[in-house]
Amino acid sequence: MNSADISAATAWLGRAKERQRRILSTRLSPHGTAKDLFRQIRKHLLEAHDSEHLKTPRHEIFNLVKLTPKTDDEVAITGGEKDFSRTLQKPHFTRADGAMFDFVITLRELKNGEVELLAYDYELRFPPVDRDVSSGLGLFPIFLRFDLNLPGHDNDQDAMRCHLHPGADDILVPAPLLGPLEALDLLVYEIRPRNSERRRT
Amino acid sequence: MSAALVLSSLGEFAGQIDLRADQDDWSALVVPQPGSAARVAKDLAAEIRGLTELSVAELSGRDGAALLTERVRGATAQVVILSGLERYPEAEWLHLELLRSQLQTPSAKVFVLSRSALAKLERYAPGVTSFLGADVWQVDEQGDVLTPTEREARLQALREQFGRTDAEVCALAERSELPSDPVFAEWLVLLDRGDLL
Repeated sequence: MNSADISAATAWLGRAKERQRRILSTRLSPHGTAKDLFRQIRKHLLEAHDSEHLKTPRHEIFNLVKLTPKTDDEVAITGGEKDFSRTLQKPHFTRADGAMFDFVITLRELKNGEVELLAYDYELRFPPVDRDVSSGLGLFPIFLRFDLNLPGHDNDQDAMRCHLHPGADDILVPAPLLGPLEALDLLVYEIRPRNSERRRT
Repeated sequence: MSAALVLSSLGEFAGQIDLRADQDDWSALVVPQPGSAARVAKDLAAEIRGLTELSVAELSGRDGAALLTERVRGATAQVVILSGLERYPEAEWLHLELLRSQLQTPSAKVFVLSRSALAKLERYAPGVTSFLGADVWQVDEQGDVLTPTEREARLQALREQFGRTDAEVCALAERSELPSDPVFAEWLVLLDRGDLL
């Protein structure tokens, strides 16, 4: 790499870090305890069931949303199980249109009565019918995942701490920092084909 | 009352209280230890407030049946949670039985009490017990928490996916070399090693 290449790389990386700094400057530290946040999340999902946006039954929502045992300041809230191979067989939430999602939020309870988001991942998977591209009407990407990585020890990673995987685990796109309920809003209500009858390829 | 009560987490119980509010409805939540009734009553109130828009009153019966009855009659909340009955002597239960018709107000009433207090209620206040019908539940205080089996299943999925052991992940974190992917945060918390984050 010559000096011009190094200079260009330094410049774009600097802008990337500045972009990420801007995204993360929207400091999200919900007030309350992990249990409070857990209750808000569960309520959000139960309301989505009641308004028929989620097909997942109420009793299953209670089974799917769990806390890790509280032995420390760090706690995880889990919603369903991570489906690494996307078999669609792991416990998950199902929307009325058949799309599925799961999530994990890791947070730390702070002494000032707030909770700090340490990391999260929310993955939305579209149903098999939407994956059929033979008609030319298939929906891509077949999954979306919003991640908040742990604060990196490698500065390069910090430039993409908050990102979206647009249907590929190896592709990262900068994404806004999402509060837990905002993220669920996206998964439950917002991210869906604009017109399911007239798909654009 | 049968020996085997149906387990219910506070969240699940709170989730169906909507159906009971605004009518003279009775139920009981049995706590494992007499000393935990007040705390569970408080947690239940928080669960109901968190899940519903219902108004909730927490009433203690520790000042006796007469005052408890007075408080129930004065409560305007849609859900009334009653605890502090653990030390009632026989006479107090009998007094509660005598006053039972005055307890019939248009709200959902929930007794939070130990199994021994429930046994005394059944013995000395059969009329009040009849209000409960079959609506007696055992509190599952860990119902919102991953069970050891669920926790191990999640850990096993992580081990298989990333080909690493728990010890290796902890060692990476101790050396500040832990990958920053969110799943590694979950991994450490599942191991009770959130301190390494």
